[in-house]
Amino acid sequence: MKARIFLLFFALLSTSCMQHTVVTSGQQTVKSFIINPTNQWNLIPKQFSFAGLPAWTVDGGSLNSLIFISEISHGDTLLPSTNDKKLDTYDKDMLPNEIIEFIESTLLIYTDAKITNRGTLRPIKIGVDQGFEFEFEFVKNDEVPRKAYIAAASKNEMLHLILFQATKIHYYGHLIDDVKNIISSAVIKT
Amino acid sequence: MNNIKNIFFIFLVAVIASGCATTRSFSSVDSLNQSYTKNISTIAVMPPDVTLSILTAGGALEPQAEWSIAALNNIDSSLVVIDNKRESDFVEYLRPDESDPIYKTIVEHEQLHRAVGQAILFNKLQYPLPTKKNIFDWTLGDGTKAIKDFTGADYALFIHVNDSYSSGGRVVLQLAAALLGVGVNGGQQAGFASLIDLSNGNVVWFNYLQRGVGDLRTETPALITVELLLDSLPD
Amino acid sequence: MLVIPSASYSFERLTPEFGSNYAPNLAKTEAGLWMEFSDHENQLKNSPVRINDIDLDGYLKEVLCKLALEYCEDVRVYVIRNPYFNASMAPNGMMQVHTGFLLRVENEAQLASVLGHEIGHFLKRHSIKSMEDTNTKSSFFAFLSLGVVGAVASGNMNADFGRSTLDLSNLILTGSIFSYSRDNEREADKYGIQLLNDAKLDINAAKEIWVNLIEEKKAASEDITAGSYFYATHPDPGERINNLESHAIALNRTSQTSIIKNKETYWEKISPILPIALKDELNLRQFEQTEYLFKKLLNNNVSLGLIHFYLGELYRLKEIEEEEHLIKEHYNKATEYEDYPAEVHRSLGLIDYKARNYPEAKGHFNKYLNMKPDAHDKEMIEFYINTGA
Repeated sequence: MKARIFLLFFALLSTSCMQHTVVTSGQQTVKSFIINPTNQWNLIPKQFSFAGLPAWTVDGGSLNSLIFISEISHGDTLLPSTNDKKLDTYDKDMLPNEIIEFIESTLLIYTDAKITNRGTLRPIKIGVDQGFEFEFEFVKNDEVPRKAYIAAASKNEMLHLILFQATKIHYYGHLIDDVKNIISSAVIKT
Repeated sequence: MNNIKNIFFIFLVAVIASGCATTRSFSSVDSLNQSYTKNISTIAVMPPDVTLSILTAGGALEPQAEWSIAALNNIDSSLVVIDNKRESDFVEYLRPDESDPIYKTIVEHEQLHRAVGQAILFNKLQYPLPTKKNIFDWTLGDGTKAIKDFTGADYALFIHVNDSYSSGGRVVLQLAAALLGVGVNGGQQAGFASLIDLSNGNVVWFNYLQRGVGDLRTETPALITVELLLDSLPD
Repeated sequence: MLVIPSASYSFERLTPEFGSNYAPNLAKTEAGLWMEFSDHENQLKNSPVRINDIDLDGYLKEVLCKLALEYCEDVRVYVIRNPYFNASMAPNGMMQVHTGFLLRVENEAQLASVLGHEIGHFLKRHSIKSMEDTNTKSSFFAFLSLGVVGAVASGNMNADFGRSTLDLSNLILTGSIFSYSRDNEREADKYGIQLLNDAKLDINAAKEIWVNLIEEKKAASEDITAGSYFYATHPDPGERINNLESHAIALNRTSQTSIIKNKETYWEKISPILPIALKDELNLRQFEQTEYLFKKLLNNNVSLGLIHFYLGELYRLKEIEEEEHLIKEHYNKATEYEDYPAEVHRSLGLIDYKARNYPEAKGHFNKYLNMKPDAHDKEMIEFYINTGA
């Protein structure tokens, strides 16, 4: 009986409301990013988002999501470390090519994702900050193939990046222009 | 087994008590894409993806080929019965040869469909997306045009059934999983059917097999199940 | 239970549990697994993680058929892009070999010893039997639930829960090298070496794989992560090696054994997957393990330009001051070989750029772009060239 009560209590604690909420359109701050989305996005509850990071979706996380990663300092891992996975760490002097290596390694170790096709890696500005964008295709095991777009910049020796992922068929192409629009007017807070 | 049932019950209470649960009646989605008015003339029935498993006393899920094949056969014969009552025709769809490029296209879209189906279950029925409250615009994209050319049909019917049976009736694992704070294992324990407009890939109709109803293992109940599953399937 | 062989042990041959061209009786568990895996197989065949090299597939099938003989048509091999050392066999005859496995095999005889081991599991229907065993079933369910929790905790980039649970449970369902009972492992080892010998390949190869893995594990003492199935699930290899040695001795007494390894053939056929396999291995950031492995690969005398490049990459990423000289040492060595990768110059360029040696950096970046005019990062490299002071 005690065990049951404990389980009930535990269950009550852990079942906080796990629902998606609307991301209202208009300028707003997500972590270190100031961005201006249109009104089609939903905020994914932390329990379901990738690595518990702030993430938005239009059609559901398994079809597409926009993930925000902020203020990665020298020596930090890209994603919250778990005990059993030893992840690569960020170095403030990394050039964009090296940051891609850092991301690719992290994705492989953390989630078994393999990059299957590399798209263009080019310099861009995010607000006033010099950064880069990178497009690639990836897959996890035999799941539905996906495509991703990263926009990142280093500011004050910290890395900030936005990652958009979607199914390669249809959903990536459907939303990438909207995502690039968001990036083109994004600013990283000082 | 009893222990597991008790835990499920407790978690169920917990969810309801937390005030966050919506009532979990998984009936067919009503507010679909109402804007389609085209006449449906031909429907290609994609080979149903059916796996029926038994949940053993030890808690293992054992796929049962006999059940699954019986279910497949029952679905097939049910579809024939239903076809006769309908205006539009079910078209038999034969899987192309592996060397044919359309084979890969079809496999890719079946794979995408599974992901889209799961997204509908997860993001429409269980953890709804507020932006989709009155919209149903899930789609496979217009890559399906190639499938339309190949099959000669206007629409495709996908049926996915992954279901488990235990001796005491169905055990819905997904609810427990959801209550443990993890995502719903919708693909494993759900039955869903969808109708795809092959000219643009849009899901024009979607239904979820309501738990507790029907048994796909034997013919007569299977027919009822399939009829229910395809109940509101547009003529 | 198999008895551990003694000095006067004589080798008794094993036989298959079913005839060739087998299709299981629908009513049984087995048929359910066959069906489940046929669906899985269709997805896998067309997945981007499957490496689709016709020559390599043909070679693997050839080796498989040397071993499996009349069961040749019952088994299909797929090369899967995965950096971990593993090979697995599904109950329906679908075999997967990981690129991480192919990288660690030294010759055809070693390849055949593991394929033979997997065929042994298949012919003795071990995965079916373990599904039917009650102990395995309960833990399977627990594992399945764990899989769901694990999937979220490790943060799937998507909510593809239904299928991903099945993927996680693959380890048990499909019967990898590591997931059977000790008796089944012993039996498969024995069957494998029997098949190896029948195929007239070097029977000492069977134990070599495990000896090598122990060596690698010793070298990698700092790198143990639970993500590596090898470290998490590997049964004690000591006993295994002893048994394989005993089997080899017993076989030697009664039959004509061979020392054929076919090393050159093996490396010729494997070479197309090396670039991707080496990169994935390095991406694990397990430097000690990888260093050991890459150095060992130099001994094969193939793709040396590529391997020296990756050794350079390893030291570049490792960032240990005392080893800094090794970076350029290996890149420079790579350039001595005809087919060295253009990326050598990109990496040298990055190093020079960061050290503010801009003229040298430009030289290397330009060389990279000359060698690879359609590089995906061309615009980025041009940016470095233009912004170097």
